[in-house]
Amino acid sequence: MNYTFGGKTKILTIVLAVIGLAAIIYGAVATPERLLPNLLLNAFIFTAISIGGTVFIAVHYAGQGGWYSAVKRVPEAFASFLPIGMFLLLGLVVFDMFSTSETFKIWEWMDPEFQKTDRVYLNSGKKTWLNNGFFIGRVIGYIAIWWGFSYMLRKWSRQEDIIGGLGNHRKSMIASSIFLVLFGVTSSTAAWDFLMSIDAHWFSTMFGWYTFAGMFVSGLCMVTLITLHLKRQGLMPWVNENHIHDLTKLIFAFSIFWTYVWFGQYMLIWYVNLPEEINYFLERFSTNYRFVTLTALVLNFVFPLIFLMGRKSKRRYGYVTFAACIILFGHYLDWFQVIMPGTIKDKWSIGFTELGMFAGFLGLFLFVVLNSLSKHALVPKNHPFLNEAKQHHI
Amino acid sequence: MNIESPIREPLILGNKSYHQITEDIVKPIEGRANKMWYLVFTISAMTALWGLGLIFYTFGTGIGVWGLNKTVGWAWDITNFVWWIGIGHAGTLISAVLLLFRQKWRMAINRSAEAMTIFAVICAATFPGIHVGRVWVVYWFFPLPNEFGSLWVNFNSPLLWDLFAISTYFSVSLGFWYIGLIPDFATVRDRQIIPFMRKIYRTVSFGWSGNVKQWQRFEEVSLVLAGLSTPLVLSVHTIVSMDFATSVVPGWHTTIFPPYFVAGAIFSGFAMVSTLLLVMRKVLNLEEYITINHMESMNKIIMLTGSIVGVAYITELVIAWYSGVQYEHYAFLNRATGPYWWAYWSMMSCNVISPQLFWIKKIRRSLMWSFFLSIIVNIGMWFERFVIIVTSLHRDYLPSSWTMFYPTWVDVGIFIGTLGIFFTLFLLFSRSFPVIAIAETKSILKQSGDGWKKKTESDYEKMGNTEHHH
Repeated sequence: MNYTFGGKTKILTIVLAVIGLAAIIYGAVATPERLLPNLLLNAFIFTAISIGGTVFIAVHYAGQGGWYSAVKRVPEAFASFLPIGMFLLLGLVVFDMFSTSETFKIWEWMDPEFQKTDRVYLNSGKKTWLNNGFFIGRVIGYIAIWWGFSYMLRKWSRQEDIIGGLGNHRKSMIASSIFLVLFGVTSSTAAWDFLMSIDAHWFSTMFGWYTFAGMFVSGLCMVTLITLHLKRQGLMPWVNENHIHDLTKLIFAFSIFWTYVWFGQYMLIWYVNLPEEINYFLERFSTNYRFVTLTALVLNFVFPLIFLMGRKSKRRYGYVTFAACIILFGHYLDWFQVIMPGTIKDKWSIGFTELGMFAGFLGLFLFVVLNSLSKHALVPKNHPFLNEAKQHHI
Repeated sequence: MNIESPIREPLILGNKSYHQITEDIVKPIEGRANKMWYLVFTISAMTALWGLGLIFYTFGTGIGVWGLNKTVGWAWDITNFVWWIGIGHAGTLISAVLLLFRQKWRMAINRSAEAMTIFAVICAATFPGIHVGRVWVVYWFFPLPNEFGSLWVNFNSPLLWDLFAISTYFSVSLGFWYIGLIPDFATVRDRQIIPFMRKIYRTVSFGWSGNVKQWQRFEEVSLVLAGLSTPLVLSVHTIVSMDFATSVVPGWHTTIFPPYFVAGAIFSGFAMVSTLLLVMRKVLNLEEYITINHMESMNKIIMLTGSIVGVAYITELVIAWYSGVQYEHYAFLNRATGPYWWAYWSMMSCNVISPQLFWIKKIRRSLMWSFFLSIIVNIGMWFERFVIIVTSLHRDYLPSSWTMFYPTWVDVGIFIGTLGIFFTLFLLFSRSFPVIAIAETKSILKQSGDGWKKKTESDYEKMGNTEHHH
């Protein structure tokens, strides 16, 4: 029983993508300084969601999880969007390095003038780390590792359908372990590169793990949402409230983990109050950004804490759909307050440029992922733990 | 019904029956200890007594008998404290977090890991207690009204948060451990023939009769306590890390500290559990319950947490270099190349490099290697705390205050003494408590027992529509 991608769903994703295109054109004309930061924001979020899916698969391969095999085709399909998101990020980096435009700008340090005159830049490792060539090299490395492993894991999973046996499973276990090691390093460095370096003088050792937490939660939310969409189509009858319960449990747990690292970073900087660190939060808690920062905190922490704690709430499809949407939006706002203060400062707003582009990226992501899902079986029929997943009961 | 894929290794070997499980686990309590046990117990108890003697010597003479000085006011005492607290993390992690993750292999090891937690926290709590010097006013730690003393505690201080975190953690861990023990104590009670012993086990098992209602409540309480312990176990080392990270000392104030300390704590705790279990399974003949498969899982966690700690070390180094803050920059340069370089490189090789050997399946499943590497990790994690604490302190902002720290024989002696206390308690535990959770182990016999797996393998194949494999 395969998924057919068509009808209303297909039209909806196309409409969303067209709205996004309109928002980009509108943004370029009406709000030019907001265009690139928003492109970065959306490209990063949907890359994060996609790689979050691969991490979900890899963690379960390495830890020999069983129940996840019922839904693993969903995150596998995320790999189709990964190159789009990541090459867009690369494009933004290259554009910013060579653009002389004052309006279309993201990373302050890419300005040749900054690289020649900034005292902190010149007297620290930034001179080496934030060097144009090295930076582009790293981004290409991220693409190779993240996309490469996502692609291979999906390929072997599909091969398993055809030839059976344990060979592909064993290969995937090894590849997943290697991927997790590489991702353990590159998730941090990518977070420094794409996001932390926007505020070129600021630094925080926690930043990598903070970004990782957001990536994983967003990925989990999207896995849950698409699984529930498929269930609403009458597909995946082997997935029941027990699987959704486990997925939501992970969303809950990693929302708390996200809060933990958020608070750890914030509290230590607030407590010690060093000028080179506290500026970051002074800006984010100024009247300008306070609303966004605090709303993100409420949606990503208070909301799941209260609404996802109970057992029943994790087992109702409609409720879980609602919660996953809210948390996904919470992480949109969180990354919004990471990116905007260092790029467009007080000129931020949430208007058609922002919402339209988010809708557009969502449409594109869904189009690509659902299209990929429709091409292959939803059940990994030869997965050695599939029977465990089918009997899953908690 | 809970079914299991045939490619999962069995967790209980030797084709056990329910009765055999009880027999095997209760045997050490009912039998007599051998000479080896008495020998090891005597050595541990003597060491413990020696440590206690040195603690009293410290009380009588003053903190001056330690190697502390005006610049390095915290050294071995806090290093030992953090080391022991870290070791204590594995018990709760195994009993609570692995329960939430439905890891069945935890059943064989949770009891002794929890016991170890409690003993480790006792050893840890010794150090802040004796560091105050005037132990007769040690209750000033607590926020008591002023008529009990002249000091009102500082609620802004992470040291006070630490006190709360550890005492809460200790109480909840103790409760969790004890509740798990009740049904097993009842099993021991029902088998005892010595009236006096029977009376003791009757008292400690709180009249457990094993009816359905009691089991139902037991399960509920276990789940609630697991839910409570999970944030608690994370909070303890988080707050320990804040003892350092809320300061302005270079090398201490870094935002990654909370999760990095927690990962390190789990790392060292698992290593200590490995060390203890490898000996225990042999001495008490429990090889069929604590199998090589169990050791492999533990080694995988050691490798994972060791690598997380490794990422944190590298992050600290790179960000210190990236930040452009010269003090941070110097602090890390001094760690790696300064007078304590040997401590830094011991830490790096023991904690980051040596666990990578577990990538090799043969090493991961070798008892000798597991034992050897678990000791190495314990040593490495002690050095980690020493490096963080002493190398950051001994280079003050004011170069005229620069100094070195050298431990005295009292410093060393008290640390060895706490090892004695720890092993004494653990040895006593191993002869009077069921060291494996009997009831919980039985609950997985008809899923993960080797006899059961063999019997149902063909059913599993039939049940699914899979046409694979082997």
